[in-house]
Amino acid sequence: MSLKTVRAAFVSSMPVLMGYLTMGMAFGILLATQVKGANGLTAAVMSFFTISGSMQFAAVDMLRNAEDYSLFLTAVLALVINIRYAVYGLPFLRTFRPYPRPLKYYLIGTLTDETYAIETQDRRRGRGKRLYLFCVSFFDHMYWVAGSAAGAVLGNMIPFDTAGIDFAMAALFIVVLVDLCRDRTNHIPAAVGGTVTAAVLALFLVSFPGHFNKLLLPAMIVTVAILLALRKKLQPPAEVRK
Amino acid sequence: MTLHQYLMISVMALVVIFLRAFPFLLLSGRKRPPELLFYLGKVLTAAAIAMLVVYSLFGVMDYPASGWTALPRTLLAGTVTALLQYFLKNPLVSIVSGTAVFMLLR
Repeated sequence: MSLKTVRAAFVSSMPVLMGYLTMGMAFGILLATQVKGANGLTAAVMSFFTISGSMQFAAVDMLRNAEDYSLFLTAVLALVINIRYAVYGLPFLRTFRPYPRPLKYYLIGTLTDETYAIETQDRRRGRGKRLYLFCVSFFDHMYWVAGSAAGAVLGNMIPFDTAGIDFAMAALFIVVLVDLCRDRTNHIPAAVGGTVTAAVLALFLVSFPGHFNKLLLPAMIVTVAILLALRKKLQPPAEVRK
Repeated sequence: MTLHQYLMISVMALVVIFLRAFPFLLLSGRKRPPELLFYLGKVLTAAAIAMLVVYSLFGVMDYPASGWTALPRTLLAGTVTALLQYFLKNPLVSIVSGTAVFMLLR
């Protein structure tokens, strides 16, 4: 154990600290105010095992309308929303291979956008690297869990009328979308997803009023089909990709 | 909370864990995964988030119970959120301001 490495990992994780604490709190508040019976423990458990902002914010809405979501539909939505994680581990395949299993599984299970960004920049080698990677993952993980639990506790104590607070969910997705769209190559996929959803939504309003939260699956199927058809046009040449 | 809700939470967590483990489960360190996976990983992320934007913006309007009365403040609050994020790049400021606009304009 080298205290210096732990400290270095903490310093690296500092930019994530405020972000995860506040986002975690927003999630916790939303969960506690929108889902009956959800408390600090529920939020902490969700955050401990999922560690995905967009998944968990979407989960709040899905749990609120739980009767409309079969477990199969839940799994499909989770798969599409989080598909990017299926390629996240790639830069670490080699690095993690010699690591002891528990450490390897922990590092894999806690990989998020932010942790990924920090860990791919690390140039350390050997034992120091193991400790450093573990600490970064662990610190980020704990910020997220702590923020969520605190938010849920707070959310259950809020004395004022919280009607409209569910806009925070839409706001989070808008924020993520704005940041994604700084990269021009995301414009067309985003436009496809948004337009298809609006079109399917309109269709649902006409044919099944009141059941609009069933629209996500058909919208996703159409979106995936269109994006597969556009693959030749949208796929960047191999050497451009990181 | 119901059993079904707890099961939903478990399913979501398991799917995310499976996705994170995917490259390690299926690939020996040398082989690269199919190009299609890279492609979908990139384009589906942007598409899924755009879908969730449209979906959740519609969701907060509480249609049909409230009719279309919430449409103007929804669009306004959404625009405020997007503009703040675009220029200030501070998620917390964008989310709190947008939500405040939405809640206060009732």
